[in-house]
Amino acid sequence: MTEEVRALAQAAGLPLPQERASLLSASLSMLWLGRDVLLSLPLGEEGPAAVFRAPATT
Amino acid sequence: MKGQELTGLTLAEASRLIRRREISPTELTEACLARIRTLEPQVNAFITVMAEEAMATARLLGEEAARGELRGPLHGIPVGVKDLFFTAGFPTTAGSPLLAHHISQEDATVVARLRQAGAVVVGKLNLHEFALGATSKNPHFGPVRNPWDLSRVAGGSSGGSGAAVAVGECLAALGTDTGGSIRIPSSLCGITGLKPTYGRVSLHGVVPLSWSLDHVGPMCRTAEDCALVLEVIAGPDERDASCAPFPVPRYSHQLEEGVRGLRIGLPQEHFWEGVDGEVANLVRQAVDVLAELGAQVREVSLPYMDMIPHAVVSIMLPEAVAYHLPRLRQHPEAYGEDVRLRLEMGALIPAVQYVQAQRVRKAVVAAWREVFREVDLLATPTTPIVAPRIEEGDLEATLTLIRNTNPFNLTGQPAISVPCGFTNSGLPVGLQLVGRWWEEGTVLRAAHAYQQATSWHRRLPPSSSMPPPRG
Repeated sequence: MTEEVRALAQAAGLPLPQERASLLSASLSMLWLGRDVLLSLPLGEEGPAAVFRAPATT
Repeated sequence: MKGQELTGLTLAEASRLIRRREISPTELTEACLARIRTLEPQVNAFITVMAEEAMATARLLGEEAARGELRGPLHGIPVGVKDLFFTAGFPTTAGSPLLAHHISQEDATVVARLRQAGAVVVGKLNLHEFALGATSKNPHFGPVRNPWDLSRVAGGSSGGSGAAVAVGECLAALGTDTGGSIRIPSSLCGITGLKPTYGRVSLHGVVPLSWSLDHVGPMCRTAEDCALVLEVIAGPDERDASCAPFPVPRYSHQLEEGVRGLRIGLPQEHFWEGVDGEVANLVRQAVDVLAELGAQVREVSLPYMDMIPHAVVSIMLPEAVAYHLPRLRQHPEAYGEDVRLRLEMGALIPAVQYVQAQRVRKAVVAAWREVFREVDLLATPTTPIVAPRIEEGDLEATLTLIRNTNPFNLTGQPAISVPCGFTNSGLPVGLQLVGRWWEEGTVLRAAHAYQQATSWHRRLPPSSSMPPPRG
C-alpha cells in the first residue's frame, strides 16, 4: 500500500518520503473505500450536470 | 452608553440607536477597537486590525449620519471579515504564511457591498489555515480561543469570526462554509450563523477551498442581524458564474411571521448518532419550543445518508488540491501538518471518484427535494459535541465537528445555527435549522421566532464581562 501511495504521489508530482507515504496510507484506504461506495450507486446515464451552478437549479 | 454597553448591542439595536442619533458610528467603532485591544491577547480572533482605516470610515459615516444621510441598517456598524476575503490595500493571508504579503487591489464583492451599505470593516479574522479544517488551530497565527473557555477551540474554519462576534469585538462578521465553517464556530461560540443557499452570495474575491461547496454568509448575535447582513451581501454578481440571477427578498420583513403551521422534520438517520447526551437533550428541548410556538414536528427519513460523507470528501479535497497543487509542490513545509495531509490525500483521489461524487450529489438533491415536499425545515444538532480542548487531535475533532453540517454543503440548502442552551460546564450548544433551496426567509423566520421565545443568544461569554445588552 505504501509503495502504491508513493507511486501515485510521484505521478501527481508530489514525491513523498517513505514515512509520509506510510502516514497517508491509512487515511487513503478509507477514501478509496468511499470510491467503491459511491460507484455502487446505480445512476444510469445521468451526468453531473451544472455542477458549478446552484444545485437547486439542476 | 459607553464601552462594553455598546459592544454588547446586537446589530439591529445599534442600528436603531444610530438612526436616532443616540450613538455615533465613531463611538461604536472606538468601543469595538477598545475591545480588540483588551481581549485579543486572550482570544486571538484577528490576524489584521484595520484601526486607522476603520476610524476614518466611521468619522465619514458619522458626518453622513449627522446630516441625516443614512445608507441603511448597516450604517456605522463595525464588522469583521474572515481573512479569506479580499480587502483592497490590506493583506489577505487565508491564515497561511504563503499569502502573508498578498495584498489585493480590490475588495471581494461582499466586502464592497458591506462598505457601500455603510459597514465599518475593523479587521481580518483568524481562521483554520486555508479554511481546510474545523478547529481554527492555526499553526502560523496561533489558535483562536473559545471565549466560553479559553482552553478550548472556537471551531472553524471561521473561528475568528465566531469568537470576535461573541465577545463584541465587532457586531457582525463574514464567514465561509464549505463543510460547516460558519455553523460550527457559531455553535461552539454561542452566536447565530447562516449558510445561505449555494449561489445566493457571490464568491468573487474569496480565496477558494472547494468551488462547488463554498458558501459565504453572515455570523451575528441574532437571526435578525443575519437577515440584515444577508440582504446586503446577497444577489447576482456578474463576476461569479456560480452566483444565481435571482432577486433577493427582504428577509427582515418576513421575520415576524412565526412558525405556526411550519412542518419541521427530525431526521432519523445519521444526525443523532454519536451525539453527546447533553447536546441531544438541549436540541430536543429547542425543538419542543418550536412545537409550542405552533410548528408541527415529525420524523423524516433522508435517502443516501451513507453516501454523503464519501461524496463530500471526494469533491472537497480534489477541488482544494486543484487550487493548491503548485504551491504544495514547491513549499510543502509551509503548510500545517493537518492541512498538508488533507491536500496530499486530495491529490491521490482518482478522477472517477470525483465525478461519481458529483453524480451522487445530483441524485441526493433530487431525492431530498421529495422529502422537502413533506416538511418545510429540518432540525438537528449543529455539532454532535461541544468545543473540544485545544490539545485534542485536529483530524479526529474535525471529522466529528463537520458530521451534521456538511450534508447541506453537498445539497446547497440554507442552514442556520442558533444557540439553544449551555451544558453543565457552561459551553454553548447549537440548533441547526435547514430549509428548502432559496428559502432563507423561512430559516431566518423560524430562528427569529425561537430567539423571541428564548434568551440563549443574549448570554455573553465570561471573558466579555459585559452587562446584558438592552432589549
